Amino acid sequence: MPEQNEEAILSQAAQGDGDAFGALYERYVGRIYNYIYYRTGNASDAEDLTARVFYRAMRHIGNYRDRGLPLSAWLYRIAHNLVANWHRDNSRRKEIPLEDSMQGHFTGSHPETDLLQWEERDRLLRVIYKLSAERQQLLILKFVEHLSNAEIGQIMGRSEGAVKSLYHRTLLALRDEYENL
Amino acid sequence: MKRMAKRVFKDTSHDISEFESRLESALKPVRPPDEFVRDLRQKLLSQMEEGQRGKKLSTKNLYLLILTGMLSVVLVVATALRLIVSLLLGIKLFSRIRSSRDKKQTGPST
Repeated sequence: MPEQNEEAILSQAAQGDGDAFGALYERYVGRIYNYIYYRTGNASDAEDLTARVFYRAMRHIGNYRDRGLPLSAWLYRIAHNLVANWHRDNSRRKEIPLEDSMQGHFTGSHPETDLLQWEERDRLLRVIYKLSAERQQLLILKFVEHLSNAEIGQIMGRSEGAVKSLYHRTLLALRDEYENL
Repeated sequence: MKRMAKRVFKDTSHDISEFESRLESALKPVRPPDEFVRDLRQKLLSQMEEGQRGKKLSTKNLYLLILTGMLSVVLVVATALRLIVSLLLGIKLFSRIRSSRDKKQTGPST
C-alpha cells in the first residue's frame, strides 16, 4: 500500500468502509503485535492488547486527523498507552516465559550453540526489562521495527536529535547494566 | 591527554557497535499467529458492520422524529386556528342575538 494511497484508504475507513479498515489492519497488525510482544514479554497478553489497540482505533478512526502524525505513530501511541495501563494493572513486570522467549530462535543444528545464544538473549532481555518504559520503547522501535530516529521521534513526541541522544544514553546504560549482571 | 580521550572514545564506540549487533540478534521480529490475525480481522469487520447498521438506524430514527415533530406542530397550529375561528363565530353569534333582542325590546314601545 503506497503512502499516498494510505490517505485515501484512511478516509474511506473513517467513513465506515470495512474493506479499507481491513487493509489498514493487515498493514499494521504485525508491527503492533511485535511492539506489544516485546513490551509485555508474552504472546497471550500481546494478542489481547493488540486486539484492544485495533478496537480502539476502529472506534476513533473517524476522529483521526493527520496533523503531521502518521497513522502508524497514532497506533503505536495507542499501544504504548495500553501497555502502560497493563504494567500498572499488573504492578510487577512479567518475566518472559521460557517457551515464548525461545520460540523461533532455535535452529536445531547445534543445540549447545542454540542454548548459549538463548542464554545471552535471555540475559539481554532481562536487562532491557529493567529499563524505563520510554527506553524500552525506543529499543523495540529501533531494533524490532527498524524505524528511523525521525519516525521514532514522531511516535514518542520528541525531536530527532533528542531520540539520538536518548538512544546513545540507553545503550551506555544497557551495556553497563549487562556487564554488572 | 587528547590521545587518551580519543582512545577511550574509540573503545566506547567499538563496545557500543558490538552491543548493537547483540541487540540486533536478540530483538528479532516475531510473527503473530495466523489464526489470531484472521480471527481478529473477522471480529473487527463484523463489529464495524454492526456499527454502520446502528448508525443507519439512528439516522432513520432522527428523520422519523423530525417528521413527528413537524406533524405535531401542524396539529397544534390547526387546533389553535380552529379555536380562534370558533371564538370569533361565537362572539358574532352572541352580538347578533343581543342586537335582535334589543330590537325586540325597543319595537313595541314605539
